[in-house]
Amino acid sequence: MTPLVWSLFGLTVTLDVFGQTAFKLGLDRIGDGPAGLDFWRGVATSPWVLAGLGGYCVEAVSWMYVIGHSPLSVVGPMAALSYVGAVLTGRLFLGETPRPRRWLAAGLVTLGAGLVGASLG
Amino acid sequence: MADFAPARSLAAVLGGWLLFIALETTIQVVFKIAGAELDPDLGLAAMVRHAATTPIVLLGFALYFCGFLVWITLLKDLDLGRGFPMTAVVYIATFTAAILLFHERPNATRIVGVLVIMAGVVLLASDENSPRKGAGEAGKEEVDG
Repeated sequence: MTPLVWSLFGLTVTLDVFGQTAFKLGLDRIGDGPAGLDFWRGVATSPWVLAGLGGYCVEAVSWMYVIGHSPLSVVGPMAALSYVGAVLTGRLFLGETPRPRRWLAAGLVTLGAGLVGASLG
Repeated sequence: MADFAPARSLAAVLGGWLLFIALETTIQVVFKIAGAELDPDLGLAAMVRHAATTPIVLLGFALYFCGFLVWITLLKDLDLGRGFPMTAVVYIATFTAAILLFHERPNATRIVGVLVIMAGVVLLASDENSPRKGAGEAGKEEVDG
C-alpha cells in the first residue's frame, strides 16, 4: 500500500467518525417525536445531518480509491478503527458515558487493526 | 433489542438490519471493482470526469446513498458508540468476499488481527446503551454553545 493509500485511509476513517457523530447529533435534535414524512423532513433540514452527508460524499470517493488499490482483507477490517473514534466522540460530544468495558473493547479493536496492518509485512 | 422504540416491531428491526448488511456488503464489493478505475495519475479533473462516466462507479455511489438512508433509520434508536459497531457484521461478509471473490490469501497475523477486532467489536456491540449525562441534555448544550 502506497503512502497516498494510507493517507486516504486515515481521511476515510476520520470523515466516517465525523459523519456518524454529526448524524447522531442531528437525530438527537430531531428527537423521537416526528415519524414518517416529518422525520425525513427533519433529516433533510438538519444542519448536522447535512454536514455529515457532505463528509460522507468525500469519504465515499476516498474509500473507493483506497479499497480499489489495496487488499480488501486488510482495509476492510481496519476500517473498524472508526468504532474507536465513535466511542471517543460519543464521550466528547454526545454525552455518552462509556463504561470501562467499552474502552477495553476500543483497545482490542485498535490492537487488532494494528495486527492486520502489520500483516502486510 | 429492548433499546429499540417499542413502536417498531422485532421483524421490522431485523429486516432493517438484514437489508443493511446485504446492501453494505454489496457496496464494498462494487467499490473494490470501481475503485480500480480511479487513477490519480490522470490528474484530478480527468479522474473525476472518468469516474462520473463509469457505470460501476456511479452504481457504487448510488448504493452508498441507499446505505445511508437505511443506516439513518437504524441509528435513530441507538447509542453511536454501541450501535455503530453492530455494522461490523459487514466486515465478516467483506472479509469472506475478499477470499472468495478476489482470491486474497490472508496470512496468520491478518487472521488473528481480524479475530481480535471482532472480539472488540462484539464487546462494544453487546454493551448496553449508556445513560446520557443529564438525560441527554448536557452533551447537546455543550455542542450548541
